[in-house]
Formats: sequence, structure tokens, C-alpha cells
Amino acid sequence: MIWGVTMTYKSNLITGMILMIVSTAYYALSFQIEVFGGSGATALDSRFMPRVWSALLFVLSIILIIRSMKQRKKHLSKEDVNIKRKRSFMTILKENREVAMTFIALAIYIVGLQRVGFLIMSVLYLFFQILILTNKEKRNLLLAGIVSIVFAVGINYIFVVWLRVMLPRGIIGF
Amino acid sequence: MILEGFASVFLDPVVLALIAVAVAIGIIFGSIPGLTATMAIVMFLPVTYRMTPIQGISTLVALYIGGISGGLVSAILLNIPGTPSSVATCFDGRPMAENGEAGKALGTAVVFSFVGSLVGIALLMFISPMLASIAIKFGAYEYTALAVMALSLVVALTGRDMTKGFVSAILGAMLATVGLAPIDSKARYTFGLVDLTAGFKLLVLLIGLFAITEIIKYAESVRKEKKLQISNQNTEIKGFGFSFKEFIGQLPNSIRSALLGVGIGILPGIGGAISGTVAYTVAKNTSKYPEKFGTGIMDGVVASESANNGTIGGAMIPLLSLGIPGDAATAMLLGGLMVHNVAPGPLIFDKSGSIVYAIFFAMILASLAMLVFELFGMKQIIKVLKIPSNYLLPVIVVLTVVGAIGDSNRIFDVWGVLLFGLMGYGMIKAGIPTIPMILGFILGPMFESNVRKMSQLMNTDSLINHPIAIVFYIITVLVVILSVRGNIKEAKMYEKMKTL
Amino acid sequence: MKKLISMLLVLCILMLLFAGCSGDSSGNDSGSEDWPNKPLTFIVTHGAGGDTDYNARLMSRMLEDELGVAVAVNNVTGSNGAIALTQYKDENPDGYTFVFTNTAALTGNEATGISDFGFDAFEPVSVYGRQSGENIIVPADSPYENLDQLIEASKANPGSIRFGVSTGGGVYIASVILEQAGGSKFQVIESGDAAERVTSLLGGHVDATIAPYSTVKEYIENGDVKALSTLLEEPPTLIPDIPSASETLEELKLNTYYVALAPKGTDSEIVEKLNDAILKIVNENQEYSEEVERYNLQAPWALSVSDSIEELSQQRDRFMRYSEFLR
Repeated sequence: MIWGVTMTYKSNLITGMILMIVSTAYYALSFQIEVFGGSGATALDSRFMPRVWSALLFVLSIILIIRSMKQRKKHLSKEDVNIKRKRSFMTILKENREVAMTFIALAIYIVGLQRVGFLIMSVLYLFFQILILTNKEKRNLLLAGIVSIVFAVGINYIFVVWLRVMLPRGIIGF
Repeated sequence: MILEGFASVFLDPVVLALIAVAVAIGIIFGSIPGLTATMAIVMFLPVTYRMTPIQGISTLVALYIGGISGGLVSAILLNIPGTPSSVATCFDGRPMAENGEAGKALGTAVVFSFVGSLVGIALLMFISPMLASIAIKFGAYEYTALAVMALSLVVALTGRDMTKGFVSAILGAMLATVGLAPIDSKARYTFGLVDLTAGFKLLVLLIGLFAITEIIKYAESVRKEKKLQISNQNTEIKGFGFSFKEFIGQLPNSIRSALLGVGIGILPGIGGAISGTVAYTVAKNTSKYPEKFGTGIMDGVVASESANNGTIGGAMIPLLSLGIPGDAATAMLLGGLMVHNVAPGPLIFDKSGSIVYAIFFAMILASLAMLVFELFGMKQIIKVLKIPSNYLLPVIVVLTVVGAIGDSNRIFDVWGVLLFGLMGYGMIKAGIPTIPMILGFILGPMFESNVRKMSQLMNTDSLINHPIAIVFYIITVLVVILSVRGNIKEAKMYEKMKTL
Repeated sequence: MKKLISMLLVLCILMLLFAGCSGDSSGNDSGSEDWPNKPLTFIVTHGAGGDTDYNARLMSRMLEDELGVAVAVNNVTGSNGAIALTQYKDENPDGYTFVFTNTAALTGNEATGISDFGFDAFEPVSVYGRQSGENIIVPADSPYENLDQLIEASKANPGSIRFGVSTGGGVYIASVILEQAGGSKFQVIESGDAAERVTSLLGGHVDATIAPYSTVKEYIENGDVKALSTLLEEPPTLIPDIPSASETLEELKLNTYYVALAPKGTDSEIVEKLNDAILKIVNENQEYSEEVERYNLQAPWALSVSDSIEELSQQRDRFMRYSEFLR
């Protein structure tokens, strides 16, 4: 649980800017909140707290940006500045392709849940996710397939049939 | 009455069997991320209708105790809290597992869960009317102060980077505003979507932030040589996993944490996640070696687990004496009680005295069962560490999907899990801690609704009349000052070390 | 790697194909002939343990025996029921999901603007029970003996008497009626739902509030609280000692009913069938009437579909008269 690792100045800068945008948007949207005028209304209406939060976040984002500026100065003044290769978005994506594929697999899983149903989608998801997480050399398609089917069917049985939890059933009926 | 209660539990084999089974089921539910104690109670509530009152209520209470306790398993083994109450157990539980002390962590958590339960039940049995009458005195002023005090713990927890800790907490509070506002129920940030009108659920946030990020972290490490897998750990456990001397040494910590847990449990709407985190922070700040917290020491696990089990006993106090449930699980218990014609309130001892005592005994028995099952199960469960993560984590994800959707039946919640997973990943990359977000999510709304009620009262009332609130504010100021000082010291030491 | 990507692509295409040819996947496979032939789900709009929940669960248990299928009861709480009502008014009109609520939520939310719809966004199944009555309560040691004294005291010292309500609920509407029609000058304080309001009163955070009789009867018995009047039009048959508020202030009548609703578009034959089952239980089932009398202190009571709609409509008109003050 080692937080507060100082992070590169770039990441702090980006974080700061994102937070600034978020807090501004959040504040702007607070005007859409209706004000209650009935009995018991006070000055602290439903717009109040959102505005407090967004103000605080805005301040924090500025702190982060200032921090990143300070870091940048220190970074650029160092004698031996490592000249990092400019990494394009595609390279970053490729280096983290397991992460990207995990997110895609999850998204497909969720989209498919209602159409195709829990059982089938779980088998498919488990199969692909296991493979995504396995090193190319160690990939064992058969084992992955067996595990997927066994667990998906097992979980489905316990929860849908036995405990009668409503999980989505696809057009195939189960 | 006491004897009647005792007899109806201990001498009825059906009840004994039900408690045993229910505790086991509860532990299983609790230990699987995405499934919670509340869910277990909801699912088995209809089954209890046909039982006698004592059978039915004993079953539900046993599910509750097993369920809250079970969360420690996945917290320690997977770094994913099985239930919200076990959030703080991850802090030291997981590092302990990474250091090869998984058995010790599990044993510690189990035994001190039991201690916490006993403390809670003892207070429940002996002084619950008195505690209830104190709880009644908590109004808007007190809750506002309490929320502020709890949020100040964020400062204490976040160590070196307070800015990012606060960012996390505020983002959590902002997420919690999505939906209908407290008091006047005006729609906020819903963009006209029905699903958003109901807001985000804590469970969804928890799963996304902890479970999904675990699988993402693993995905990152697949091709790299990062050793995230601990499946080649020593999985032998001797006895309880820790020594008698250590047990005695941790008792003060445990009892203090349990008392904190009970106190927080009595106040409706706060819950085990906060009590675990508060107890952890208190333990850290009062310990002789605060810098060791987070690296994998017993104390952290003891604090968190004693507190969240104490909260069980605490939550039963307003439930039984006032009919006010402390959290979602006790809300379901209330339904169970009403169905069996047990009306909580001031007259519960007069009208249903023997049932109340039966409940107490059932709770004691359930805690014992929990201890026994978990101690025996520990030796097997730890083998989970041996399962390769590439098979284990996807199955966990599927289970969390069941948890997310099974309760409310909305696909939206599953999308929420993915969304929060994405957000959690972003936060990790940005160095923003995830725990304060949970605190902000729970405490933000509590702060808002109470501060607004306070504004309604301010015409006729003022802070002077509320000594309890004033005390809380003083504590807050002290905590902030001490923590800031400690954090600055830590940061300076860190800087010094870097330049060496 | 490439194999994996191409497999994912194939999957995507398959999914799109499925999406293309599947219609309504929730399976509208049962007509009204053999209804019910699978388990029912009742959505309760208020929390477990409350009076709305209690009545819904009681009815669900009786219906399980009567209809021969399992009935699952889920609480979807929030915003005085608005969350559940908004979500379920259009969802699952297949005759297997129903919403159980109370009129203070259903009609009250419309009047206070929390919801922009009312009972006509649903197919009402039945008004199936009368609440034991919201009672105006004060601590046992307070100086007020009846509603009149309370109102007068508030006029004498405007804002000094704190009145606990749940903003947007029936109790809130009652407080507005007290103000508009009765001239009272309370300081209105948000105090949560029924059990929380009573606790607020006991803890000294408010000086008066309103809560259902079933929630307060123990406190009255124990001598902690006294009830000044009930908001029911007529005092309940089994507790005649509490006068009706309408004797003091004619406008102040709030009959809270328990209502069963079906999502809009549910087959009217199914609605009638469920109504028949409910009426049968209410009128004939011994166990049910014992339970209801014990809990609600009322004789069992339920209306047919058309009578229900009539009653709901009347209540709505009454509430809407005050709506400008409620928002």
C-alpha cells in the first residue's frame, strides 16, 4: 500500500488537467439541478454540496498542476536527461494489449449478457479471458475450454436453478 | 426468560443444524467478491418464513455473522474485499500474503473476528438499552460532526500524498451525488436516464475498483517479469498461524477496535467498511511503529476484523431496541423479525423476551461456528493461492457479475463495474489511492444530508447545545494536525532517502 | 496473438447477428390463459420492516398459496418510493412483476413534484389495505393535549416548534396542509422515514411529528409518546380513542392505502386475475384477517380494479390542490 509515489511530472500534469475539466463540468451541470421551494427549504439546496465538491476538486487540480510544473523544472535541469523515445498511442496500446483486450472482453461479455444469456456468455468470456491472461507458450486451449464450461455451468446451476437468482436468459432460453 | 431462550437454541437440534449450515453458507457468500452477507439474507429470507420464529431468526443471524466474516478470505488471498466490511483487511492482509505469511494473516483475521463478535454480542446483551438511549441523542449536528471526523481520517491514511488522497475522496463523494438528492429528491447528474436516477451502488463501485483492477493489474504482468503471482508460497499452516504471545499482545488493539466497531455499528447508516477503516487508522496512529502499517503486520488485520465484527453486534442494538436497521443486512433482518411477529422497540423484552435471548445465544453459537469452520477451512482455503491467477481471476470476475446483477437485476450495474474498473485503472496509473474513494462515497452523502438538516435546525438550535458534536470536531482538528505533522515528517524522510 | 484477435472478431460478428435476429428476449411466452405459470416478483417501494413492506410481504405469502407459484419480494428503496416507481412503471409488463407501494408515495410524489407521473402511469391492480393511520404524535410529557393546542402554540411562537417530516411524503403533505389550511407555523425539519421520525422525537430532535400507528403503538403503551390525532377520515375501528384530525381541521385527512400496481401495458385479464386472488384472500382468508387486524388494527379491506382507480383518482385530486405549495 505504498501510495504517494511521486509519479512523473507528465502524469501529474495530465491528471491535474483532467481533474480540472471534470470539476468544471460537474459544476456547470449543477445548474441543471432543480431547486426545491417547498416547506422546509433552506439555503443549502441540492446544488450546494455538488458545488462544494467541485470547488475543492478544482483547487486540488491546480495544486497538482503546480506540482507538475515544479517537477518539470527539476527534471529539465538535471544534467543527464534521459532522452525517451516518443511513444505513439499505438505503441502504448500494443505494449499493454492484454489490458486492452481484457477491457474489450469484458465489454463484449456485458453486451452479450442480455442477448445471448448468462450461461453461454460466461463460457465464452471465461475461455477468452483465461487465454488473454496466459503466456503464449503456456496456453492450453483444452484446459481453458474445460474450466470455462465447468465453472460457467456450475455457477449457473447454483445461482439460477438452485438459488433462483434472476440472471439474464438469452433468446436460446437459458 | 433467559433459560427459555437458552433452551430454545441449544437444545433444539434443528436450530443447531440451521445455524451451522447458515454460517457456512454465509462465509461462502462473504468470501466471494460480489456476493455479500446482505445478498445471502435476501435469498434465504423466504425459506425462513415457514420455520418457527427462533429457527428462522437464528438462521438469518447466522448468515449475517458468517457473511460479514467471510470477506476476510478474499481480502487476504486476492486483495479484493469479499464484502465492503473487509476493505481495511486488504491493507495489511494482502501484504502479509505476499510476504509468505498468508496462513498467519488468515488465522489472525479469523480469531480476532471472533473476539470482535464476542465483544459486540456482550455489549448487545448487557447494555443495549443504555447504548440505544445514547444513540437516540445523535441528531443532525452529531452526524455532521461524525462525518467530518471520519473524512479527516483520509488525511491520516493517505500518508505522503494528501492531495491525491483528497482527490480520491472527493471523486467518491461526487459519484455518490449521482441520483436523487437527499431530502428533496431532486434529480442530479442523471441526464434523464432512469438507471442513473437510482444512483451507483457501493457494491458496484467496490467490485469495479478492486476486483476489476486486480485482473487488470495481472493482465499487465502477463508478459512482463513482474512477480505478482504468489502461487509458489508456503501453504502450510500450523495451528492458528500465530503464537499465544502474539495473541495476548494484540488483545488491547483488538478490544479497542471492536469497541469502535460497536460504536459505529450503533449509528445507522455508516457500516462495516467505515468501522474497519477507522479502527485501522486509529491502530496505526496509536502504535509504536506506524510506518510498518501497510507492509504486512498483524495489527492492521486485527484492527479491521475486530472492528467489522463488532459492528455486527452494534448494528443489532438499534435494530432490536428501536426497530431501526443499521445497514442493508439488518434491514433484511428487520423484515425477518416482523414476519415472525417479533416487533422491535422498547417493549421487545417484555413482549418477546425469550426470543430476544434466543437471538443472543444464536449469535454466540454462530460466532463459535464461524471460528471453527474458518479455522478448519483455512488449511484448505489457503490452497487457493496455488491456483494460477489466469484461471482464478476470470472466474472471480464472473462471480462478481452474478453479485452485481443478482441483487437489482439491472445490466446497468454490470456496466458500472466495468466503468469503475476503467476508472480504477486510471487512478492506479495516476497514483491516486482507491480507498479514500470508498470513504468519500459513503461519508459524502452522510455529510450532505446532515449538514442540510442542520441548516433547517439552525434557527432554533446551535452547536453549543451539542457537546458530542463539539468533541468530534476537536478530535478532527487534533487528528488533522497530528497526521499532517506525521505526513510531513514522513515526506521529509522519504526525500532524504532518495538523495542518499 | 493474431488467432486470438480473429477469434474475438468472429465473436463480435456472431453477437451482432444475434442482436439482429433476436427480438424481445425477456420471453413473452405466457398468455393470460395459464397465468401464473412461473414465479412472480413483487417490488416493494419502501424498506424492509416498514408498514408498506409488511403488508406487501403478508399478501405475497398468502398469494403463494392461493396462486400456487413462488413469489419473490424485493425492496427497491429510495426517495419515498420514487426510485422504484420510476424504474418499474414500464418494465416487464409481462404479468409477472408487480409493484407494491402506498398512496402517500404514489400520489404524494406526484403532488410534490418528485415524480412527474401518478397512478395512471401504471395499471392499478388493487387498493388492498388501509393503513392504521398516520398519527400526530408528541412526547408524553409535552404540554399539548390535542391538535388545536399544538397549532395555536405554533402560531403564538412561530418557528419554535420543530415538526419532523419526510420531505415529499404523505407526512410532508400533511404538514403543508396544516400550514396552509390551519395556519400553523412550525419549523419543518427533515427527519427520515417512520421509524427514524419516532426516534427523532424520542431523542428530542423534533417536538412533534407524524408516524403510522403501527410504528408508535408500543411507545404509546410504554408511555413515551402520546398521539394527538389520526389523519384518517374516521378513527380506526380498533383504536377509537384517538380523534380524527379532520374534527379540528377539516382539510386534514390522509387515508394512506396500500396499493398493488402492474406496469403499464400489462394484460388486463392478468390484472383482473390478480385482483380476484387478492379480494379472495382479503375477504375469505382467516389467517390474513387475523394478521392484518393485529398489525393494522383495521378490518381487512380491498377494492376491485375499477373501485381502486376511482379511489386513487379522488386522492390525487385532493393532493394536487396543494401542489404549488409542495414543490
